[in-house]
Amino acid sequence: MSGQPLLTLRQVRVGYSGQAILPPLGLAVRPGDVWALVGRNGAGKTTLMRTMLGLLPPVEGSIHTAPGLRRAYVPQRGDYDLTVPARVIDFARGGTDVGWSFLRPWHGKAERARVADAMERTDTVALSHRAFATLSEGQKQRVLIARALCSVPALLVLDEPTSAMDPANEAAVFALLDRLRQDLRVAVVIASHQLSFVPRYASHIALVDRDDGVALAGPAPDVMSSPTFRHRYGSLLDEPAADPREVSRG
Amino acid sequence: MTRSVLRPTLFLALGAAALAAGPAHATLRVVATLPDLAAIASEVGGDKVQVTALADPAEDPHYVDPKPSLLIPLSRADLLIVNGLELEVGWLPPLQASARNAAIRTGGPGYLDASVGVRLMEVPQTRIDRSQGDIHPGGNPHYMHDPRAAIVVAKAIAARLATLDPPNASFYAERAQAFVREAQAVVDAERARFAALPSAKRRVIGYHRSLTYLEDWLGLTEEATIEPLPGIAPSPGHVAEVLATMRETGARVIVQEEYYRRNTSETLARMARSEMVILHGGTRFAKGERYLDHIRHTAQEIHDALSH
Amino acid sequence: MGDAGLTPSMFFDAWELFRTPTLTGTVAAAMLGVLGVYVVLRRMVFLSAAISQAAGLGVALAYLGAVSFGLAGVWASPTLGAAVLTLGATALIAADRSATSARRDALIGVVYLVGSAGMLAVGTRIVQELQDIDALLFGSAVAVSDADFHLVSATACAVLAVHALGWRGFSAASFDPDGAQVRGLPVRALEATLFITLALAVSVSTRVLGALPTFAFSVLPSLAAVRLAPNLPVALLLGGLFGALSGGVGYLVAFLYEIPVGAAQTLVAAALVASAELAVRAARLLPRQGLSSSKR
Ligand SMILES: [Zn+2]
Repeated sequence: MSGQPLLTLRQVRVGYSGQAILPPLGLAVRPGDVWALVGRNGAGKTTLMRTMLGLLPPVEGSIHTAPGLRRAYVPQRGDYDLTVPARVIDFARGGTDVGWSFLRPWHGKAERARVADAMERTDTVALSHRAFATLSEGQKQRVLIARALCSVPALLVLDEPTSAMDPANEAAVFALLDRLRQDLRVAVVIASHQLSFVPRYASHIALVDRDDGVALAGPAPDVMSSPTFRHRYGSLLDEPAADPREVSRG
Repeated sequence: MTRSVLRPTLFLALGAAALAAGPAHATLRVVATLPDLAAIASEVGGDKVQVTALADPAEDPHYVDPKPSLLIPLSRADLLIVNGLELEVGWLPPLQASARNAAIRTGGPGYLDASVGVRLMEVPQTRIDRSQGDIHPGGNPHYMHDPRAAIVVAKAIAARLATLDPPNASFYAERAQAFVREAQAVVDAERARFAALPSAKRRVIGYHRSLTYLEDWLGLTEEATIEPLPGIAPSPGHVAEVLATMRETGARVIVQEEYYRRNTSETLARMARSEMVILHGGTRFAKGERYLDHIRHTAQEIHDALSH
Repeated sequence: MGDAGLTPSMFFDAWELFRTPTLTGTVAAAMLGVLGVYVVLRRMVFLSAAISQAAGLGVALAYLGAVSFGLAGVWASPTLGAAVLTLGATALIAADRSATSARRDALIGVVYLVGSAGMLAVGTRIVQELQDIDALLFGSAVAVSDADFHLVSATACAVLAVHALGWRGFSAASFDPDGAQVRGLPVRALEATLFITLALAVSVSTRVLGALPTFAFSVLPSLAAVRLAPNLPVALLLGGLFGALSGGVGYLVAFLYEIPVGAAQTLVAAALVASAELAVRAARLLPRQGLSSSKR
């Protein structure tokens, strides 16, 4: 992977209201990277992710972003209120606005083109006029990704994109993200307590554990071969037969 | 809705006539804020007037929720009769303004404040400390419980109707005179009847300070009111004081109009083993009741309770 | 008049008398119907009730200042008192951005209770002014002065212009706040603007029409709209339309059946909610029988 880093964390300690919860961490996200933020539930993944999104200031250290960096965030599916009326097309359009561009009651030509492109890439065009609330989990996730693509981001951050999904849908989501990485050269950051995708799709890994004071980041092969990682997840990742989700809970 | 076709047509026809001919139509249109005033206006005006009441007798006259349809009679009224003394201050002014009828604006030729000429009670002598004030800042406005005040009001209405409709002046004067004679008879008879009660029995507890004129007429003593000040809901301390007063003075009858809350009075009645009298709030004018019948009924209810 | 037959034609023959209050109800309800979409979807239905009570306490405190502490001039102005407490209460409720709506819900309850209890407590010291407060604050929907009509119209124009221009922003800040902030939308400013327009609309409408219809307009029309609309912009338009219907038709109903105006407007709005619910349920049954033919 090449190119100038989009986002660089130097000796960053993340946390809330001045209280750091993880040891210092350094990493650089470049175009085309796929970062896996892994760790148990409550390990600090979300805090690290929100810090990378700029939603939380770092407690210590510094963060550098490439000039004009466009980030897009795909929250967990459960974070969306399904009583808000929206068809798929409306839902996707909700992601077009950047900065003060919302100050126009109607979506312009360029915005509509971006929405059409995003929906095509995520294979959601056929769903356009369905109500978002009536979609399956896999369809919802694709629509969420379409919405995030509407702002033409260079960095796409997803929170638990495959939770409560069957393996086939899960594989489809990762395949889609991999396609976007290749076609659009976006960098992808995935926070997940599941590991099944890591060996196949992740180029980099950040492993965090608040309780044991672990914050480890680097290229996937390096992290996976580190004793800290192997201690936690063992060699199960090398054996395709095992179900990694069992491990992640441990 | 099922309704007769005739009445609205008639109503409209009258309205059209009113618009076309100005005030010189066959009958005078009178609007009174309270049903008691409406009943007296009707008594005095006979078939020469058409009277509408804004409030319902079951409504607290301090807080009336007016109906939009009442704007029509207000807009066409030749005369608006108000109780005055700020009784209607909370609800009448916006109606008056919206009616777009110059005649009935305050001070206009068709505006009659019925309290003018009535012998008022509880008029504040000083108005230094406003925090001691209540919703009776201009004196006690509940004079229509007293037929002696009604006599004054009937005469004032007759005089004003005569000004508005001079050809029928003597008609109004005669009808007012008839009302005065009958009212005076009621005043004297009831007063005598109550005077026959032993004085120890002529004690009552009021709810709102609305019975002052009535008590003055019938020779009753109000030992306490359940409201600490007019318009203020009773506090626990005040209720305890009222109970103590009832036990000390032997007042065994609680009198209140139908629109006041009954929970406190019922508790007190139970604890002091006393009677409750729920009075009609006013003449059932819409049902054709006459003012003096309403007054006799009121006196009867109180007399019954006191003579137990 | 009593139960003399009242007909719509009598209402329209005397339209000159009813124009101002009917239009005022229509305009205020249209404004609140639009804003109500956010109120309902963000689960703050008691917001307007709480804001009205806070405004009431503000007016009562201003009178108390004048009566008991001899304050005068601006400091004893009831309008200032209402404005300060309304904005304060709104800021308190809006400032809470915690993940669950439970805390905000509790805050709305606290504001409502402090407002109403405070008003009762202060009321015993300013009885003489109580009726003024009633008239000043919980206006009457029956009769509306021209000045009040202009106040409502100007407020509605300003509020609706802001919302027509910024609905995409308010939508993002309301339903996808993290995503919006990541994309650089001014989420805090949008939230503040949304709540200020809400406070303004609710306090002006309460002052002119009364607390009951204001509460109803800020909840019921938008409830029906959200049920029927396929998306947010349509919900906002329908909310405004249903609001206008409740305000205008409600006044006519109050005239015809001789019931208090605020109650009639509330009942018309509630009837819209019931109709919307029925329509949605009927539409669910329909596809099996009816739609196949209409598709051709
Ligand atoms: Zn009174």
